[in-house]
Amino acid sequence: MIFGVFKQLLITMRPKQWTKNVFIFTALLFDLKLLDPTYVLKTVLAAVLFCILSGCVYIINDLTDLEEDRQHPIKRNRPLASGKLTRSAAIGAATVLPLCTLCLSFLLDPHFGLIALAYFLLQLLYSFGLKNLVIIDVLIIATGFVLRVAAGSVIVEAERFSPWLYVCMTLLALFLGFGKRRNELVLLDADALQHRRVLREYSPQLLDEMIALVASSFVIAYSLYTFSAENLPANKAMMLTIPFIIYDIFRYLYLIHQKNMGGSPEEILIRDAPFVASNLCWGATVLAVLYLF
Amino acid sequence: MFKELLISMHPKRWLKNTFMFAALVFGMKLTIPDLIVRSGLAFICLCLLSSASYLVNDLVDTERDKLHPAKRDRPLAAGRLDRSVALGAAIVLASVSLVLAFVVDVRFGVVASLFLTVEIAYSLLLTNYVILDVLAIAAAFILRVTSGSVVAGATTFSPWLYVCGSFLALFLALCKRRHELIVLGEVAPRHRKVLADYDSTLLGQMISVVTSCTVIAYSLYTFWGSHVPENKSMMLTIPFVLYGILRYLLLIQSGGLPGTPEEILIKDPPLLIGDLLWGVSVLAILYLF
Repeated sequence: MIFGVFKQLLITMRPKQWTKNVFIFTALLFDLKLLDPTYVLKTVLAAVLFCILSGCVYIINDLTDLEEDRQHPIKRNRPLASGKLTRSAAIGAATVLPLCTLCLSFLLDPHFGLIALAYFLLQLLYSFGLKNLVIIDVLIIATGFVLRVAAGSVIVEAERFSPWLYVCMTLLALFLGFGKRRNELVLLDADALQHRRVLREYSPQLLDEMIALVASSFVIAYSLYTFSAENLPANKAMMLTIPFIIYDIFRYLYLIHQKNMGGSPEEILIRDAPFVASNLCWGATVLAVLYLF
Repeated sequence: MFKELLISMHPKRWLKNTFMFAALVFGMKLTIPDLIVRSGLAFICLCLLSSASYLVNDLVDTERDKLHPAKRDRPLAAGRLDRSVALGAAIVLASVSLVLAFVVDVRFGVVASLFLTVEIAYSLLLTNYVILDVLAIAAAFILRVTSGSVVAGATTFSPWLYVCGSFLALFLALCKRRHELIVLGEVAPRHRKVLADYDSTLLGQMISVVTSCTVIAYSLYTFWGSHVPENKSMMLTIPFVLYGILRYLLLIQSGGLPGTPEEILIKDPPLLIGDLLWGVSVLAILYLF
């Protein structure tokens, strides 16, 4: 019985979405702290805390959308909407979990606690209104990513973490965000329009222009990072990672346009074999360049 | 027969190999006769190597070329050139130029071998994979730049040269795809399988990404690059680059033009004038200021 409640609670917390929290590891990787067990442990802990926090936002989200979800063909199977998870259990979890998680965050590191709190509040604001404001919605998503990177960066007390990486992160997040909106818009039916009002403000052309803008900015920012950031190998070996980034961005555009994917970055991240292969090559090259050169 | 062989070596495409002079020009080495001779030799090597790869390409594509409105007149597709002769010529050209390359400079020999590998891999395999095909074309351009840089005896690595070169190469490669898509229309995938995976909006997006990257990378180079004059006069060349890129975009987009993208590049007078002005101002600024 109690196990069943936990299972339903876990489903409500959308573990699939947690993959986004890998961005907390950015600073650990790029600040050359990957071989320091203390920092690795602290970062893993921080990632777990972020997963729980983002899970709580989904519980709160489902609680507020309960009536709407019951009318939705797919969403009515969600634990809360279908009644498999009782409202009181969900409300309990949504109160206790964030409080505990935030306390732990402050104990782990006060600065990290502040960032976690900011992240949590931002996500709540997003769920309760900002997601309906055109452009702001995607900016908030991007801010979420930047806060993840910042959180990771405080945890490892980064000394050499480059401002370039924040710029890249923001642009990449905007790219993913606009890509997601485009996918939603293209696959749109009247029903979806009701559920995400903000989509009415976007058009595929507008989104394409925004996507092209942030994609180019991202590619150029990353390229500049590889040879002008401090603390990178002097032989500019980091430039070897640029082709993978270009491939990734083009492959993502291809998936958005030709395969109508792009709706859920977390799925592409694990499902599209060429994309996964390129990412692995990128990761391996980055590790080799940063740690072996 | 030699004439047919020469046609199959696609001399017009040798223009791409001029990319290898970038290191010589931008590394301020254009006044050293010895290096000019070496670069000239290396240029010939690259031309012979790429000829070998074009022969291989035409050998592989003979059947498909027979169906193509323009390509069916190529010597191999039209049957005017014997297949065994073409294959023999490709092998001889490749071995002779590789030996020559190693003689010129061992490091250049290595880069040249890589170049041949990429070109052949492209003809046989990579040309069928979406995105990888254009990346392979860009890789070949980078290897051209690297060749030039090795032969010119560059001791420092100039990131700007490679970044600008690669984005420009990607730009040209993607424009080539777009041109094929526009000119061939519905039947495009029959001539080039990979064209089924591209569509006009997708290419448009990719092109706008590499266009912005090229322009911004070049602009930053003009005031941050090495060897550029203190007074930032290199920035004066930005308008020519902008004009060249935008003009080429316009020509490709309008699609009605005859010929390959390579031909457009050398046949459109305004583009040609823009490029010449750019070349003259770059030389003047680098070497006179």
